[in-house]
Amino acid sequence: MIYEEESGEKMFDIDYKAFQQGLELMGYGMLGIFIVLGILFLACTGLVKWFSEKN
Amino acid sequence: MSTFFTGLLSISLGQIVMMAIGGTLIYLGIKKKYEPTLLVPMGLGTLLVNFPQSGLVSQIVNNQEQEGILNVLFDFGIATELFPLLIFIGIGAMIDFGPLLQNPILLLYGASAQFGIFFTILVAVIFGFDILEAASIGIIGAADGPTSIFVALQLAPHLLGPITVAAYSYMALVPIIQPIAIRAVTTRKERLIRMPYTSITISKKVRILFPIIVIIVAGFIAPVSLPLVGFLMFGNLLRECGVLDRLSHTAQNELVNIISILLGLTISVKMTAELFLNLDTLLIIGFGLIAFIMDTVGGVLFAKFINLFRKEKINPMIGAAGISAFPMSARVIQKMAQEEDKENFVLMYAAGANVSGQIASVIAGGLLLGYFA
Repeated sequence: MIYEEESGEKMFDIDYKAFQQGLELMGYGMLGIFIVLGILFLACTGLVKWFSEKN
Repeated sequence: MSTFFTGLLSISLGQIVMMAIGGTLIYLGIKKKYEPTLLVPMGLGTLLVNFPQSGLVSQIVNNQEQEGILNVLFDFGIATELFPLLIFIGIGAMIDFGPLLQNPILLLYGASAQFGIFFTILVAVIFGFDILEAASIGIIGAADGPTSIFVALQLAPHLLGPITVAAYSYMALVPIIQPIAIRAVTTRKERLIRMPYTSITISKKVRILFPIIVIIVAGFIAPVSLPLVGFLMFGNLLRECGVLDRLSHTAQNELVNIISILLGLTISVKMTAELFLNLDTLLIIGFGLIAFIMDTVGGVLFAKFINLFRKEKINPMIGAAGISAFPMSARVIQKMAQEEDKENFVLMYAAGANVSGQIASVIAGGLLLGYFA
């Protein structure tokens, strides 16, 4: 991702520590969302099965 | 005589540009009907705060600091997170979770459509924003104005103005952004998939238990998200319990209306020339677009992935409705489905995924805050 221009300056001066944190955040965030909504999915499936009627 | 022209003489080019931006926001709100409840007050607020020595924002006049009324409102309603949270009560009272409860699998589609948030965080980091700023920018992908405000306020309050503008502008542009992104990652055959109509009556008991269960699950796994989830589900409980119709009506109408007026006007404190006119703002507006596109792509690709394991295929466009822009996204998906096949009715599924996106986006906001807590 780093591209050196003719002047020798970097176009993207990436802070790799922040990038690593970003990746970690992606894993933590997507996993967290899927865990919460996955549990809700199971709970809702149970709820609907027990308390609702099929027409 | 010169006193009359003090304002005119002391105005800067930046302030004139900001006034033009304010005018554009008003135009977009009124003429194009792009999120007028926020863009019109915010546009007028932008105009107001950019007059030199207007007295609306805090400034030094005659060597004395005078507190502006908009700063007073900002400190009271936004710095304390009160306004965004109160709006959630109204949103919760407006949402019917019935379509979602008829097809609980749609909860997972809402989860997948939050991918844009995290993808955008990485892009923002690559462009030199620090991780807190990047997280605030990424949350534009929640496609949910109050969540974006709530998170940005805690992680990068100096970016609140451009983040709010981007979040609300792109929500209004969902009918333009989503069809392009969806067509890029689906085939016509996939868009033609029909969905069977499921007729399940969701009992009142389930509707009442649902918000309580959401609060319990979110409370244990992502407790930092509870201010958002709790207020959202409180509003929904008012709606569904059946004995608080008066309060539910107030939450859906008077409460949301009053807070929207104050929120739009007050956020414009951050729309001054010195805070708004810089390269970061342009980048943030660009990143907002990336966030919405990647949300849509994430939702569609997840739906395609799930289809690999299902006998009854789900129209992958439903995945795109998992972003939280409610109810705009569901309508866009239904319109697209009918453009391909006039007898394809996917609205109930799209609405289910859409309200699931509402829950997923507040959970995402809470998780971001939890990560940095």
